[in-house]
Amino acid sequence: VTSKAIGILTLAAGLAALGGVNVFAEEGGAGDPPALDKAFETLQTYDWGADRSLLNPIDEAIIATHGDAAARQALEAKLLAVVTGETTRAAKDFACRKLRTVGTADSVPALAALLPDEELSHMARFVLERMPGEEAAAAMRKTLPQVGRRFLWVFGKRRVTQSTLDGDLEIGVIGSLGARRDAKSIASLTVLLADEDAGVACAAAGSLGLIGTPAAAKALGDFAPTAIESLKPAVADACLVCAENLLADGHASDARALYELLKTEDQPKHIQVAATKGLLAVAARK
Amino acid sequence: MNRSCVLAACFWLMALGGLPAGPARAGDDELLGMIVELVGSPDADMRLLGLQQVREEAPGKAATRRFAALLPDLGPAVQVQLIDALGDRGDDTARPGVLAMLAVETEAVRAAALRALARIGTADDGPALARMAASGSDMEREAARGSLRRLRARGRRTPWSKRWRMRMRRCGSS
Repeated sequence: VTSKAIGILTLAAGLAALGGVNVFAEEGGAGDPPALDKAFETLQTYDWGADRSLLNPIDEAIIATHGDAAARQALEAKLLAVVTGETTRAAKDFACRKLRTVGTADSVPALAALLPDEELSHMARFVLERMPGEEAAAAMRKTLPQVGRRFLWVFGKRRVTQSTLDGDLEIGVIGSLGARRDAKSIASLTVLLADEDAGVACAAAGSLGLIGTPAAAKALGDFAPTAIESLKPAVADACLVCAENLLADGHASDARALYELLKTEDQPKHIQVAATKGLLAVAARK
Repeated sequence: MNRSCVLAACFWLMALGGLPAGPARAGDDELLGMIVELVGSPDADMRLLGLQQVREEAPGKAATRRFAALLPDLGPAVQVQLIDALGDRGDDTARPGVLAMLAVETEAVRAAALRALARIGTADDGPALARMAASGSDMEREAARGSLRRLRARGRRTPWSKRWRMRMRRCGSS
């Protein structure tokens, strides 16, 4: 067998393989609209414990429409119809999970409307937390207290609106904004540090730590000495996370200031050791 | 001197100029100062943090020399910890400082020095280890034997431990 023959055979095998891939792609959801329509029909009444394989065409359609913006948009619209329609909680849960992959800014209003829903808020955040683009963060931010600008800054009072969510739902949104490292929510989170609900205050501190910008560090640094005893561990933990993020982003002097704050004698020993280790990391970075 | 010689000389001068000669960066001095302070700290947790840094951070021979120079001024318990840390660090720059610890009064310190030689010792340490493996206290014998097992003579084809075993066999057969 000559090398030329081997080359021809290899080429033929490659072409055959590519042909096979194409066939499979067409057999997927996008190439089989009736199956996809049937799956969405099933989804309307779908409940946990039912045959999950009937929904597989939706998964296959997501894979098959990769790179096809128009097809993805159509799919997103169908999933959104499930989320906003009169369907079961399991169906909405399923649709949200799929929107996490195909969702765009078009989905944000519908998902934002679910944020106050005790049953679906979590799934809405599941999508919004990972969705690229400012719209998703803005929708979540809107539920937090809004800090108004001072009017005639010498005499005017800072205006702060109330959160639109309660308790655990608010904590969830705060956590999601932290996970997104949304710097625009720093002002609202700073207000929430003083919230009378300790869970909300802890979550706000944690999210400021995750955001990890110099402004977040300042908010935490200013609050730490005044924090009530029960909040101190959460605030110290948030400061450590914040300092780590600052150092990773090249803000060594801000990180050092936070570590110095935590190295004092009034902190528990493990916090002092962690802060000292942080200072060593700062020195090693110089 | 021809032109190629001049060029070669320039090249080596530039290359040597680029090599770090000890703590070249401002942060290194600060880092070493902090580690030194932590190793000498009366607080056990802080000291352990410093020793962990000796083991894993602050690379370079100058840093190792500075850590090894701490040994004579520390208490026996901390000397043991630092010798172990220097052994784990694996930089043979610490060898002279560790060897000096073989002459101290505290048995645990001498044993730690013998242990550390497994990592930072050289072929020249073979006789001392062999002597301690034969005539030291229980703790020293165990440490010296462990090091002899691990120590590979540098620049020689046969590991020291193997040569020691061969010598012992010869002694036994004669």
